[in-house]
Parts: sequence; C-alpha cells; structure tokens
Amino acid sequence: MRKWQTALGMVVVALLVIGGFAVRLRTTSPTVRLDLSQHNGTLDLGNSRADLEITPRPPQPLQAFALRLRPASQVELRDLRVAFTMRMDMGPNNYTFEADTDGSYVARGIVLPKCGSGNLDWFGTLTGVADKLPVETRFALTLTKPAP
Amino acid sequence: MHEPVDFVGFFILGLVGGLGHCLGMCAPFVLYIGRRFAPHGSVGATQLKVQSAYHLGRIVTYAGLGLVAGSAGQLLDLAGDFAGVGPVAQAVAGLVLVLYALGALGGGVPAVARLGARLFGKLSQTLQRQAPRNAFLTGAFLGFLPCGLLYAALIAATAAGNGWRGGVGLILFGVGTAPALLGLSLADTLLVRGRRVLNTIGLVFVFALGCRYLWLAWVD
Repeated sequence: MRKWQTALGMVVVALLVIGGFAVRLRTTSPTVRLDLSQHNGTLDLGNSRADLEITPRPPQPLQAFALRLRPASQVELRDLRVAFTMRMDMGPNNYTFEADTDGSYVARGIVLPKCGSGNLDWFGTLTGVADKLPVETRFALTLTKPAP
Repeated sequence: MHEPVDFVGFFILGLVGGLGHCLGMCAPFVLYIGRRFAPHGSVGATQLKVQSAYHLGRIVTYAGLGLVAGSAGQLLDLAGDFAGVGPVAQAVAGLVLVLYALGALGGGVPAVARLGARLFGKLSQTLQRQAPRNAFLTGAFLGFLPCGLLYAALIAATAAGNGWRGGVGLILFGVGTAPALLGLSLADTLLVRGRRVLNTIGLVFVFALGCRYLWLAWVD
C-alpha cells in the first residue's frame, strides 16, 4: 500500500477523532442537584425560589409533556428557556417558556427523542433573567420507558 | 414551545451530529456498504459512488419522513407509527450485519469462524438475496432505523408546521451527516481494507454492532 494512502488515512482518522471529541465535550454530563425524574422540585433563582413541575407524569420519550415554573414570590422573569441534552449528541432540544394567566411560566409541547441505545437519562439547562439577573440551573430528568 | 430551527440549523445539526452521534451508531453500516457493494481493491471513485448512493437513499427516506412530520404538525401520531417500524428495521439490520460479518470472517480467520460461517452460510446467502440489492435501496431502508438524532430533527420539522419546510430541513440534515460518514469510509478504504488484520478487526466490529442492534430490538 502506498505511503501517501496511509498518511491520508491517518489524517482523516485524526480529523474524525478530534471532531468527535470536540462534540462530546459539548455534551458532557453536568453535575446536578435537582432531579425531576420522579418528583417536582424547587429552583434557586438567586433572590427568589420557584417550583418546577412536569405534567403529565411520568415523562416518556416521544410523548409531549409540559414544564411549568411557578415563582414562590413576585419576581420578574423573562427570556426563560430550557435546553435538553444527554451524553450522546441529540441535537437542539430547546424550548421557550410563555407566561401563563396564573402567574406561572410554562414550556408546552416538550417532546424528547428516543435514544436508539435505550438511554433515558437527560439533563435540562434552564436559563433566563430573574429580576434583571441571569440565572442558569441544571436538572436531571430520567424518562420512563413506555410500557410494551 | 420548540425553538424554531432554520435550514442552516438543520444542516449544522447533521454536520455536528455526524461527528458526535452517527460515527458511533452508523459506523458498521458504512463498513458493510463498502464491503458488500464496492469490491475489494476498487478505486476511490467506486467507493465514493457506492457510499453516495447509500447516503442518497437515507436522505430520500429522511425527506419523506420530514415531509410527513412537517405536514402532520404534531409528532405524537407519527412517532407512534415510526416507533413501531423502528425495532423491526433494527432487528433486520442487526441480522444482516451479523450474518454478513460471519460469512466474511469465514475466509479471514478460518480456525475461529469456519464453523460459524458454515452454519450461517446458507442463511446468510438467503438473507443477502432478500436484502436490498444496491446501496441506494439499502440506505433507503436503513433510514427507518430508530435514531435519537433523527427523532430530534423530526421533532424540529414538526415544530416547523409545514410539509415542504420539514422535507427540505430533513434533506439538509441528511446531507450534513454525510461528511463524517464519508470520512469514515475513506479511512476504511485507505487504512483497513488493504490490511488483513485490520480488516478482520473491522468485520468483528460489524459483527459486534450487529449483535448490539439485535439486542436493542429485542429489549425495545
């Protein structure tokens, strides 16, 4: 086999490994304290707190659910969004929150992909502005496998 | 509400996902396509033609799914039907990979694989006759494999709420996934197929991933 073929092959492999490694770095599993898999939870918004609720339960792959953020006190929230990731790159699963009539904020119609490997462990990153201060909170969400 | 994904976003999704996702999940199919439809020692142009046909087949399937997803405007019904097809496609694909690898290994590692190749030889031949006869049709069939990244693209297409936008978006997504997989096939051609030991390792990899697909179809 010609040497230039080997060299070119090594270059291609190196590019693929570097590219794959760079993408994996983006999707490294974050450390989280809040787990919404089984129960709703409470978020720290800096000067305030808010309850985070999932309906309906249990959340399942390819089944729509809503994520509702209910502030415990009067707080001005804007630009709320949530991004879902898992260890393997699953594309942009980003949703925006809308203000609801009861003073809460809700991201409706969230549908998360079904991982071909059977992985159900997702991470959510909620970002926004609370009383003019940026907030970012991460939470874990393990989906429930649908009944056969 | 799902954040809208524009056409560039679909392409980037495929391009990045190709490196972070497809290389891990679709590698055995790329190796299989190269070995089955491009004879050993064939020049780069033949390999490129075969692999391009495979990717074109995938993209045609993706376009159809994107068209349906965008038109439906709601993923739930589509997902239910698609998820039903997925495990069947997964099982068939896994079986093809396992049997092809066993048959091919029969010539490369006689002591280990001769018995397996004999046992599976006839079954493999039968399956090969039933399997799509060219790379394009194989790609079109494999486009139905359950894939998290494809689901993400379809969810985004659904959010677009428009059939043709969904279809074009999925075409761009499929085109985006191709460079990483074409790179893999190029590396396979340049480094692996001309070297017996590496080629055997590649076939063992195809066999192992085929078993994994069979297992995933079983537990799904």
